Amino acid sequence: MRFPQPPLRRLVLSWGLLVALTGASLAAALAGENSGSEVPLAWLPLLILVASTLLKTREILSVFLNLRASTAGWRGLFLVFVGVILAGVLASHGILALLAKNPTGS
Amino acid sequence: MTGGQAIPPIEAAATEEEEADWGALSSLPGNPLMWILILSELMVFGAFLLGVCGVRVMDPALFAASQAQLDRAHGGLNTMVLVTSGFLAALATRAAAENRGPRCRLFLGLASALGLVFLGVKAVEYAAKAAEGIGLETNTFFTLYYLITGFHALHVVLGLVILAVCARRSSLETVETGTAFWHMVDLIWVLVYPILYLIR
Repeated sequence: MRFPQPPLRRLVLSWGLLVALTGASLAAALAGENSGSEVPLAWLPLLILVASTLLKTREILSVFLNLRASTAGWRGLFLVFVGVILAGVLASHGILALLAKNPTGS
Repeated sequence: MTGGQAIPPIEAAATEEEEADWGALSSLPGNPLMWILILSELMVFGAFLLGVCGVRVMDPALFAASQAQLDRAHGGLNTMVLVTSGFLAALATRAAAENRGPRCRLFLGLASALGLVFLGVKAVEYAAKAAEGIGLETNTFFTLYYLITGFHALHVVLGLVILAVCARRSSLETVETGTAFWHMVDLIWVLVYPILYLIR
């Protein structure tokens, strides 16, 4: 089966977005750091980081890998895979934040 | 063989098409086997990355101290290099779809050159760690760091070989399949970078 290729404009837009989101992720990580804590990264920069990673993976999947020409089921499956990994990141950060607040576990 | 037993050309073509039917996988661009590989790789790297999250919870102090020794700028630079390479690979696929062989090879060559830049930056990073006496056995964080980034770098090397094959045989299906592998390498790095380098 021959799939329609993404338009040139869409490819350029995706590339620009990927580069900008990488810069934003680095800036959020540097700006949100609280040294001296076991959970140094504050929640807002963490959420910015996770959201920008999710957006970047979506762009690569739907535009570069051309899943936009495929079915919603395949697009959803790949995003679920990425979502599980990022949920693991958020869960580990949440557990560390709880432990830091209540170190004795009481 | 009688005329009645021979398969007429139209029917033969239909049979061939039926044989090439991969069910739901047929609705994915490129060769379906490549998509099976992409799904498997995503699962393997996903398990590694969830392992990193587990190590972080079990020993946050060790994790934070080890992670502080990674150069975030190197990782960021490599992310930009790899997404730009992915963009050039996507342009190569477009060129192949338009039957523009020389243009397709040019984009594949540029994408490969950036793949080499990625490996160069990684080599600089590994050399800096080695000079500080940090290796695979330093601690659990660095064991995972070297396993994940080393395994990923091996995929980059394999991707460069695949892009070279695509440049020699620039049919749309070959290029679409080969560049899909390259985008998978790109996709995995986009997940590895924040988890290993940024989320502290």
